[in-house]
Amino acid sequence: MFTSLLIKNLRFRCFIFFCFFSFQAFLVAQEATISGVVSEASSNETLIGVTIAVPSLGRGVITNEYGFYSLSLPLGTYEIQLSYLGFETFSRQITLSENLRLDVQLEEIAAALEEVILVESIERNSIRKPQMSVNGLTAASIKKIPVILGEADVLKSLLLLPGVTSAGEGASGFNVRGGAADQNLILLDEAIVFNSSHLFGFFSVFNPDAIKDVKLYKGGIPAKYGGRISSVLDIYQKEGNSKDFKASGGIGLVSSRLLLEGPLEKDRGAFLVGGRASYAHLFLALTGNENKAYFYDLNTKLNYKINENNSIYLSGYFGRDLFGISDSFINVYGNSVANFRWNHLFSDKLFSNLSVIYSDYYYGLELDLVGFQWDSGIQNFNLKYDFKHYLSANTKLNYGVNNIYYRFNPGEIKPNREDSGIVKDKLTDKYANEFAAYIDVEQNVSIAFSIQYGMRWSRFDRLGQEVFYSYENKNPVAYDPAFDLYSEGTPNGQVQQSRNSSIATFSNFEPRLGLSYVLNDRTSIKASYNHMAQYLHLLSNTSSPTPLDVWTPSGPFVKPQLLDQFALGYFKNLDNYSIETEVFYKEIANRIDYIDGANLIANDAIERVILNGEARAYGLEFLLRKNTGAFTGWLAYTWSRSEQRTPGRNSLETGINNGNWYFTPFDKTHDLSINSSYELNSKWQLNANFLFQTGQPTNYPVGQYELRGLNVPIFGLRNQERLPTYHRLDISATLIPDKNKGRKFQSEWSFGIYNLYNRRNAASINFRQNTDSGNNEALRTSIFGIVPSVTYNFKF
Amino acid sequence: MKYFSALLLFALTISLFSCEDVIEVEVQNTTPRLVIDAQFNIFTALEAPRLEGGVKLSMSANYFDLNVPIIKDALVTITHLNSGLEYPLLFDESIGMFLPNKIDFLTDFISKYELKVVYKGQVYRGNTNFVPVPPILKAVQGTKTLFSGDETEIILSFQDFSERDDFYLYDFGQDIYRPIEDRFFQGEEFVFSHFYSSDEVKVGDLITIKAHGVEEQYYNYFNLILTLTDSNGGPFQSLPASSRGNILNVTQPDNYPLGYFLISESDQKQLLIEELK
Repeated sequence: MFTSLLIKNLRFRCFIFFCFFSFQAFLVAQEATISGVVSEASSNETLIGVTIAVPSLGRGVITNEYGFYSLSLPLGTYEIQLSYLGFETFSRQITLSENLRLDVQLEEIAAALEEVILVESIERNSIRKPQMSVNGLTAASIKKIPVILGEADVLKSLLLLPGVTSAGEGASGFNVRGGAADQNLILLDEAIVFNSSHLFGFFSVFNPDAIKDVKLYKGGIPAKYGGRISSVLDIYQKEGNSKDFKASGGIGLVSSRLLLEGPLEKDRGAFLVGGRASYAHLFLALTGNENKAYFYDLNTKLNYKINENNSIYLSGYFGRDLFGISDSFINVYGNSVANFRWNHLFSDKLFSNLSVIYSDYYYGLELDLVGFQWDSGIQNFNLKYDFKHYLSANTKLNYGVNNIYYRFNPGEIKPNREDSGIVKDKLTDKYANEFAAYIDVEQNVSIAFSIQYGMRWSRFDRLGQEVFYSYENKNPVAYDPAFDLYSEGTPNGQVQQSRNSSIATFSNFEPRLGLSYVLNDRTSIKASYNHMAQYLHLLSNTSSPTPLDVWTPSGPFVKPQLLDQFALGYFKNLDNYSIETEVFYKEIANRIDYIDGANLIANDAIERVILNGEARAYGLEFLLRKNTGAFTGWLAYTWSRSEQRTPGRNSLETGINNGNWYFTPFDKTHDLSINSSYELNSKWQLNANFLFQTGQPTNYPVGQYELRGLNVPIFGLRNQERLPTYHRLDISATLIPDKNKGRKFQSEWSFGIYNLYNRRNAASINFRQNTDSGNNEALRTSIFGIVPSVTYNFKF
Repeated sequence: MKYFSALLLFALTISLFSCEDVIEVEVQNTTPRLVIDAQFNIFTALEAPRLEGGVKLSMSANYFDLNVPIIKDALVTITHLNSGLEYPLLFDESIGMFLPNKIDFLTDFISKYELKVVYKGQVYRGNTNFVPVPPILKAVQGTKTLFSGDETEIILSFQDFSERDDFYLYDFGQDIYRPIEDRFFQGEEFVFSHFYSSDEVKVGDLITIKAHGVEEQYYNYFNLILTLTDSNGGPFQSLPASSRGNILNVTQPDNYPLGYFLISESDQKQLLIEELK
């Protein structure tokens, strides 16, 4: 009660703030603008997050996702410095009498170890920025982290950060600050990716060679982003080398990858083609095993710089997983994304990007034993127009619009052979449209105080569909008080609606606010608040998503999830270390939950098994990083709690779990990760990870009874027990052979051991009746024991 | 549809990578409840209908207890509600169940039936219908295999009743069940395969496959029971759920019983497992 009052109050105040500062923003002094694009000298690949600093004024800016920067300064002569991790710092004297275009190419620091890498300026900048709760990873650091089977992996690397966990090995997706996996917005070159895992979560769908930059927002999410309430994982892929033809790749135990890039037209256009494929199934075939399990993915990209003010990008992604158990069961799933983007500079202060994106997720299943083929999926068309307006040295505006049209295919069934009795059937397609407009202001109010505030307005229309059921009292879930049981309601009619009509409309103002106050050059405190809406829900009643889970839109019976999150942080840079500490609290309204025994697969009226509940999470995160020297790494510790409840809809109903709060499956009280990397000499680099986590909540039976010869377990309240504590140690060593020096062909060997002390971490504990003895027993499933790996990487 | 859920098969695939072991776990206990396992399977294909099943009364127990207590001292009756006639059931020591002395009154598709159990001064009641089943048309051995390559395939077929939503329960023996709904083959002849693992069936075994007609509510109920019992391991945890059937305690509603009351029309086929190439 108190918090909801607080939230309402805060929302109102945000709005006042917003009006106040917007006026101020237009008071501009006599200034000129320096702008341009920063790229890598060797490849023309644009660089994201380069700091452009004017030390004499104490001002600076960083390049955006397309390498562009713009900085307005009073007229005069300055020394400007460009610095970026792993690159030589660039400095130049400039005289600013009128607007100046300065495109800069940074030289990579030649693989030397003793060089002092300038990270300080970057850190100092981030300490001033109001953006908090964000973690960045570069492709280089992702590749260093030891992982299972030697496959560098974006998602597995994220799990080492504070506030990020997964439901365990072999579980798809990840959980941020006690949120569900479907609450993460995953963007690949601005396109929404619905399924982020290959092979049920053993690998992520992102090719590490093609990745340029990864950012994870856990809180204080800017107004630019919306549609998911827990986090935003924003991934940008490389554009391609427009100077020289290059190839890179790797050969591992499970999969291999190859990436080719080169100029279409020197310095103006480039292409990039990357592919990965696994081949473990080939070994299975050699041993006479007819079962198959493999994945592949393909990344393609073209970019062309038309002139200084216009660039276009075309990119595509296609990935598939395939499982087959002889011929009886064949399962195929994956994402496809096609994306066209146009960068246009309206002026040296106004950068724009227009994106036209198509993306789909397909899931198919052929079950020969019953004779059917099953297809389902989700398609979306996304149009985005985003502007970055560098109003003055102290004020930057981000604004834009976004429209997404969705088509959901919950499933189509057809016979897979002639003698199958299966009748062709189609679950009703669902359609929806999501529109959003946002404006976001980043403003340095004084030297010490900076603020970022924004407003997003989103509107979601659930569109008409061929068959839509209606229910008595608009109540699709029936409740029987005598048996205290929820069950699927019986429709009292059905209507056919036009796809152009909206059958349910939701609109939400989503204010965002971030503040930072610099206590001294090395210390700052930050605070943030964000309100967000999520209109899509992933239907999943397992502890982690599986590829066959189906997305469903909000509508007349399923409300959108609404989040309020507060976070407070303390940030400090020491000479070689940095410390980030944050506390967060969040509340989610309308978190969906399922009635007992809900069947989610091929359910044509999902509203009959869903109840709207609520969720909350809070916690503390601590991150200590060592950024420089031969020994680098971090220690991340999180204490948190994540709970949900679904009370009865009226006083007669008991709700789910008797209406009590219960731990979500992703509640991990303690979560400690240590990642360290040591440069032994010019040949060897050593890495280690250590993870320690409270076991995830689970259920043990509290009794049993006999029915039809089966021993049926009786369960009590939900998630009262926990799996044993999870911990493991991974190590890896990278060998860079001496003969690499002075030649174009570069190679390295990476050796790794996952789960070094062979801990049998429980992925689940299930209870069953032993078929021989007839007695009940508890069965622990653990996925990976000790797994050694070797990978060979090359580039030329 | 539940049975066709691929989740189980995913679990199997993941088991390629994983390993399983039986561990010691301490569990909590809860107050025992009366369990009324009241199922009447009536085989009508014969000249005189034959009954399998009856009412089995027991108490629930702690999870790791080796046995559940059987109840013999209760009053059990079934009422044919259309006629209002009441039929007492008596405890049969040889099979440990309460049975009626005749069964012809149970085969009325129009009437509803009420089960009444009086135990320790409390009265339990549940209602059901007699549900029809189409005969098993075909039960032959096939040559396909599934996961490990040494399963035995049985190909089955039946002619679904047209123009109505039907729910069936197939019983393959050894506590292997498959609930089936006719949603995707309404009114058609449905052909499907069942695979026995090599542990379950060997060459020379005579197997019996039974088909029972069930209500939609029982189909959902029994699917839930199978979800709760069918823990084949894998990383997917089954969600806990309350498995209440269709019987109420009318004396003290909180002290509700477990179990279900159903009367099914049934059919069966037997076949001898042969060595097939």
